[in-house]
Amino acid sequence: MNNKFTKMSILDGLKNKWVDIANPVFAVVLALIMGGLIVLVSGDNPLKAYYVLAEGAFGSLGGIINTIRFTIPIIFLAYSFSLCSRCGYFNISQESQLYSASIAMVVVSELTTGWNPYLRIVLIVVSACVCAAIACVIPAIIKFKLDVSEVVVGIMLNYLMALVTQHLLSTTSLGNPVSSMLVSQKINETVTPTTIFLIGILVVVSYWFLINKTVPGYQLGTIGKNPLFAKASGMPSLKVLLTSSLVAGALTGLVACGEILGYFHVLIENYATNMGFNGMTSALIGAQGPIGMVLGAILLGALKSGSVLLTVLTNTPSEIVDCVQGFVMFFATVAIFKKTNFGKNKKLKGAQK
Amino acid sequence: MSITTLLSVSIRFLGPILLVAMGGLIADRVNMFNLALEGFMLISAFAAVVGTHYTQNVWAGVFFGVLASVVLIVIYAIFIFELKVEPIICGIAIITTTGGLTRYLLIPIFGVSGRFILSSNLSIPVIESSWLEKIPFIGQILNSQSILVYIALITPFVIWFVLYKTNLGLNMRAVGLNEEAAASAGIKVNRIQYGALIANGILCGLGGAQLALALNMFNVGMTDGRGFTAIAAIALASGRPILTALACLLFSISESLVVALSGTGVSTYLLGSIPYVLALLAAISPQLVKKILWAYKRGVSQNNVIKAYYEDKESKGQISVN
Repeated sequence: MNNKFTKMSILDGLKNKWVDIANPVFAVVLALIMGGLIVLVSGDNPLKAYYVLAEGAFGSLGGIINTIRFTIPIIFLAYSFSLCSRCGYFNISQESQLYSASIAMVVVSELTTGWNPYLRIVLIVVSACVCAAIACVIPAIIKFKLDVSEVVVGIMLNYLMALVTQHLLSTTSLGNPVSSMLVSQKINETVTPTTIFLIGILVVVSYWFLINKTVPGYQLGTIGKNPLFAKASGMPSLKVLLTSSLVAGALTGLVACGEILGYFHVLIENYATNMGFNGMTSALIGAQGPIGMVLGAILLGALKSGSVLLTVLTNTPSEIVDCVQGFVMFFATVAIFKKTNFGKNKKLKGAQK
Repeated sequence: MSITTLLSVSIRFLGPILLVAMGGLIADRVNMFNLALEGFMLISAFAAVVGTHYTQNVWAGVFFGVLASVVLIVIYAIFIFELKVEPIICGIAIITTTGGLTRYLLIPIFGVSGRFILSSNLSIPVIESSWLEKIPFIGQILNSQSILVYIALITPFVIWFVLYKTNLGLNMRAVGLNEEAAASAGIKVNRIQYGALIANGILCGLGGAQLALALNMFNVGMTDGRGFTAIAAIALASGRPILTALACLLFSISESLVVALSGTGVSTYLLGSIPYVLALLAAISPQLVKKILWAYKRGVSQNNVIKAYYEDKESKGQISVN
């Protein structure tokens, strides 16, 4: 019995690894087929649309740089989402975190005009991270102290913070009254794309190290999979959870820094709309593994950067990207192969019980 | 704006959110918390506008709206029951998919981006009743609403009746309290849950159709968090139909206040945030109150236990108080 057990679990491990790769690939293919069907029904050529998407994303150096530009924030958001969901907290309020981080950035930048630029950058980044972390930890506290669904609270906070941002931009001196759009005063400090790229790599490596090689990483996984076991074996569940949601919030804050200091240099109203969903989708595609999430983020980033060329070269509207992304998320929720290929596992599960 | 107009507008806003909240409530009562109300509402609003546009008939549009919502909820149910997907993740996936799908399909179908407006004679007709008009206050509020609003106003009572006065309702509540116990009592749990979800789909479909066809237009993301507001209302009333309807009325009054106060110099963004703040408070406050009451009760009962202990000892002469 014991021998058989170990044999099966080794086989299981191999198969699980294969399944972990096959599931998301299948989900993406299925989503692309569905998207293609919809393009076909609406009277365009799906193959051409996908070809142009791929060309726009990877066909030229500019395209690749653009893809990386869109990929890095998604990686950060996916990590932020995954850090929380590993300990059972659904971090859906990322948009509100982005807005609160950006408001903090604008305020700090207004307060520190004329200071040393390096000091300013540090202050802006730190304030953004702190504010985002606080915004991230509030729904977590509400969830674990009051047992209120963090999803409802988080989505309400998203709407609320977007409106608060618009209010601040339209009525206070943070906004730029000259511009026709609702934008903030200009933030002059700049972070170059290269720096953002390097920070991105640093975050990926340290996240991989954290999850796979450290005690807190192990605790995170255990608390998510089996909270009762974690509690019984004396893990400080709430402490780990609050810490990880603070770190996750700080990661989201870094996204706001990257977007504003790196590209926009102003806070634009509604700039964060749907960014949280991108992170969630790539976390789902990557099955929450550090490398898988990077691949998922590259897919979404490529879709986003390729969509620019799509509108130029074809009649297909770039909104198809939203559509495909929705389908990817939808199909990524199902572990199709786990269901069909693993009839044998039932025996094993019975034995474990 | 007079108080009657304000309340009349509130009732108009109440229609969609009440229908959706009632749908969510049915699902909630059979232990199938449905996060994706927003998504079902959005797809039905879109399908209702498409259907109305192609058939030039509002009722066909309503039918298409309900159909789309029901088809989607059946897919959702299959994902949850047969493929064992986590309901919350599936719900969020539904919301994202419907958002993307409606945003995209608007362009090939109507050739416009962001917003499509039907011709004005294709909005859902309002019923002018002469006998309602004669009732002084309530009649004026309730008069000249669409039939879907009247249906919405009746649903809470129907659901209350079904839940508390029929066998089916008893079974539903049993499933909601404890699925395994209900199954061992011979209740077909799966069938009841499927049925509840389909009812949820129909109500969400009616709600979405009312939302879109009352304004005879569709714009991207037009549900604006109403699905989540409905969830907050259910949470506030902890799943009781009539109370949920009252909570929905609170939200719709706040919505109509936003309309009434806009243009008076108050920041529109702050006004727009009122429903969300209310919903947030509604979601949090019942649990907060429960927690405080519980802590208080526990404190009292502990005191009683301690008192009884000491009184017991005292009566046996083991210790003396004072």
